[in-house]
Amino acid sequence: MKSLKSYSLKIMLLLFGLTAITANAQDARLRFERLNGLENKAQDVVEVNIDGKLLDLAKRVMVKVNDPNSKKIAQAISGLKGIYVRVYNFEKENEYNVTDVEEIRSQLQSPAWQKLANVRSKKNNQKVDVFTMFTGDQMSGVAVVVSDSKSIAVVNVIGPIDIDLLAEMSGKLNIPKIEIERDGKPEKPKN
Amino acid sequence: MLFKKKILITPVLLLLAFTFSAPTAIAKGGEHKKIVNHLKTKYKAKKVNIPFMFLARFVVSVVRPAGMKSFSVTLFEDLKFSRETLDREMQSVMKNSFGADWSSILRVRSRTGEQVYMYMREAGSSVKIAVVTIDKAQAAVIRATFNPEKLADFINNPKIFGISLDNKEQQANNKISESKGIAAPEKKIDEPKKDN
Repeated sequence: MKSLKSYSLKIMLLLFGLTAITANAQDARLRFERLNGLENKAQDVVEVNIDGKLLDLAKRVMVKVNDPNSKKIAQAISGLKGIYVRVYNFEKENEYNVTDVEEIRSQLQSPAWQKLANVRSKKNNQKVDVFTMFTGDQMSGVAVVVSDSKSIAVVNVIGPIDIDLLAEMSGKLNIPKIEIERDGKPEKPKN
Repeated sequence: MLFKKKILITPVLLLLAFTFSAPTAIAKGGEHKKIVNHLKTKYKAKKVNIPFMFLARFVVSVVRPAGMKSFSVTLFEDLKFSRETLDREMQSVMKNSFGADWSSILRVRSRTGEQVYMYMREAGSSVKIAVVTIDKAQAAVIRATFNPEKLADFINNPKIFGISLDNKEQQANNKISESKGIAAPEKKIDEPKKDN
């Protein structure tokens, strides 16, 4: 009887832990529903949804390919759960409702998100926000919101991102070069 | 005599069966048919004939290069649509055609009449990809089924029917042949590698 109790308790704890992990991973996902209203107003719309299935497929191929760079890419995307992009371009200035974008920015005001960069320019009313979410020491999500008077772009990456590995891979396999500054010295990517 | 005839007829029948079964297998997908019908009926699109497409599809279904099991390309021209309603109509067709098992990967639309839709779904060990593009008065509906594991094998060792497509391997084989004083063949047939 006692063993049954402890067994049930273990299962309960395991389920609770799994739920917590899932909830945490889902937290980094932004809700884009509010942006759907912009579809009719925008001149151009781009929507990218790279989620579990496609990432799993990419991982499966990359792991099997006998190339060290492919293996590193597979390692870099191994924990990724999704990449979502929305871009809306408008013909005229201020054609969209600012509150729609602000609703996305308000989602990033929760304590889980940390502001990494914030740029405001009076020219074209440009606003750039970069937020990151951490689970312990590991980055579990990135959100980038860029808006100006004629366009809106939102990028949402969910899952752990290894910045060091990404920097190492920059300039290879069509990945743009990234230079990360450390202690005031720019780090040159190894080629 | 009768036995010889039977031997000859059997491969011919098999070949015919393969030729007709390959396009049918591809056309089975209801989503492809629905989209093609929509383009034909709603936008009065005219289908563009691609010469030897049936042969290319048959060859792919037999050879399966790079893990590709089947593919289908349907081109259209002279599409007549309203730019205002095109996006709404296409989205509705896409939603109705592709079931919940399909994932929308990419959607691009412009008021100038450009549309791109890309869907993907897993089918056992294979992956099905469907792409629909509309560019002003032209459209293309592309479908492909491939095995990702086989694709990775092909990337590692690009060979079709044992013939290597890898230039480095070909050059190495040519050098070996030259050193032995043998005329180098254009393409080397699959041979076990000799360890040096």
